[in-house]
Amino acid sequence: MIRWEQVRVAYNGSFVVGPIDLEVGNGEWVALIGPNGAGKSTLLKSAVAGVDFSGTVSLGGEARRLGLDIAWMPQRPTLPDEMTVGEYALLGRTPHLGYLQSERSTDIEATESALARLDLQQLTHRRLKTLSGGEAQRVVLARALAQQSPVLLLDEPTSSLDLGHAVDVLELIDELRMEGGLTVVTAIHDLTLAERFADRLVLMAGGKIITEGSGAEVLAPQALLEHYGTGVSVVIHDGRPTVIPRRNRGSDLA
Amino acid sequence: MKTSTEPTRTKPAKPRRLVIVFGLLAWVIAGLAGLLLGPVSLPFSESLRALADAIPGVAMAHSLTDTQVAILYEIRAPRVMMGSMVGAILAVGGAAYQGVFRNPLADPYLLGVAAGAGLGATIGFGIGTDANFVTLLAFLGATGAVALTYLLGRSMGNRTATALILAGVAVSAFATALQTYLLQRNSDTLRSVYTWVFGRLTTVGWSEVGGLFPYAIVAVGLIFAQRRALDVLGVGDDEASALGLNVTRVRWVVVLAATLATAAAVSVSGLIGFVGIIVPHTIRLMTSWSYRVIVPLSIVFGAGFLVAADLVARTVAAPAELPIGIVTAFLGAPFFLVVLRSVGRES
Repeated sequence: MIRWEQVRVAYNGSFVVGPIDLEVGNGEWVALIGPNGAGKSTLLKSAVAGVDFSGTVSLGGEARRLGLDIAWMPQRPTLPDEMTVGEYALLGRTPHLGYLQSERSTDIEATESALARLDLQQLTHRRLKTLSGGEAQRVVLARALAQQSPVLLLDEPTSSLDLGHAVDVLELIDELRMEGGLTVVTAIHDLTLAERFADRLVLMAGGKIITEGSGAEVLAPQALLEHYGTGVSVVIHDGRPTVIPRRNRGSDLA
Repeated sequence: MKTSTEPTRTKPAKPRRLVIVFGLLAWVIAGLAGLLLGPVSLPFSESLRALADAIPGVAMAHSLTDTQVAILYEIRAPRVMMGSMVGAILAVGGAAYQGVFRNPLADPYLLGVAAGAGLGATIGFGIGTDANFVTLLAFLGATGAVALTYLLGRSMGNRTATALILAGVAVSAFATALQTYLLQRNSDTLRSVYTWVFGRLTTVGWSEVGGLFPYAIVAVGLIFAQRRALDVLGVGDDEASALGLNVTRVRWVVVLAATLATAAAVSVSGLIGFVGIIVPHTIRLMTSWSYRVIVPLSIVFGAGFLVAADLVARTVAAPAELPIGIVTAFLGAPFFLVVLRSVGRES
């Protein structure tokens, strides 16, 4: 279980995020939703020391071990041009290696398995600079999976993926969750996908948690209009809420 | 998720054995040429026998005269050793800086090593011309300038390495301005200072070799041990830290090792420029981006390159000797441009 307690992040002396209290249980999938600048990415970064913060982030009541306990897929990863896909994914094994140690066969196997699960074996020797946006995004996820951490933090994991790959990737994460009790926290903009895959939605705005609960509880048109600044229709499709944006001008207003 | 039946091998980058052998061979050939060639030419096979005879526990008869033995042991051998160590330190130091700062133009000179050493040497020449004194002041100048850079960089409170680099630029400019002022006030030391600034291995003996050896071993060993960490730093501080790497520790171990060794090297050899940039970049362009490849090859090729450059410096205009820094730039710059062009065409 990962827990944020009284987490606050300040830039230039004023708090932009927090105080946040959030607990995600073992094997649970929580989706952070909210408009741009709501603090979703910052909250995820606080868990991996990517940002200075006050408060605590703990794992099962213990201090978290960077790399080993939490794998993080950043929204805008740094992809060294000349590195190959295989070499990049292998970096995910860093937390498992001693200070002066080199990768062992178990590390190679874990990396290859992560690449295979994302259907990336064919790209193992390709340089990162030659990848499409969608391929690069899957490679970054492969690196996170190679870490074999119990908690996976994904910042916009499907933003560059077409619909087919987006669903594939989210299904894979769900599979891993079911198999190994992986705890997943995603920041995601697609509200319908968030509802379909996550157990719980957490709506953030202005650096604070506004509301949380099931899709049916959180995806209320009035709340979404208030925080996203645009009107939406929420229709029930196959018994699940589905968010359809409405145009502010033109036919939808007619 | 779709699966593929194609086999795949994921492995970390490592230098090809053939390239290592080629580098070692080039270094050995440059070293032998450095021992045998010069104003006094020495017979090849007899010199090899004499060299073997110098190895503890090996006795080998040779026909070299005492003067020839003195030239071989006391002048050329320490010079080849010093060239190897300085070349390896400068090349590995440059590679290490480029890795920790993720900046292709970084080398220890960037944080004030060169300007500080230059200022120290200028003060040394102004006070007296004792070589050991100049060396000491050059070392103090180099380490002092980097310490000042560190303090200024830290006071800027930046999470990134940019603050450190900017502080280095400011400290270097200040030290160079001071040096220029001192040179104008003491124009009689101009020639000595400029000879030192362009680098020389002329006055090197075994005592200087012994003085630099511990720095070379410790620094090169420490940087070699961090080569995997340098690769991880390629994804940036935040991601490397999220992968469990202690970014601050890696950065300071590497910077300290590279800086101290470079300061020790330039205090003996003068400011030999360009080695820390062209050797690692040529290796990077011709082999791999990975520091697991660049670091070990920089040691071998840096050593060979400087020994070869020194050989050119002392033979091309014999009996006069060119400053080695001029040779490294004169030979290195066109070669580097050729590599850049050919790699650019390929890609």
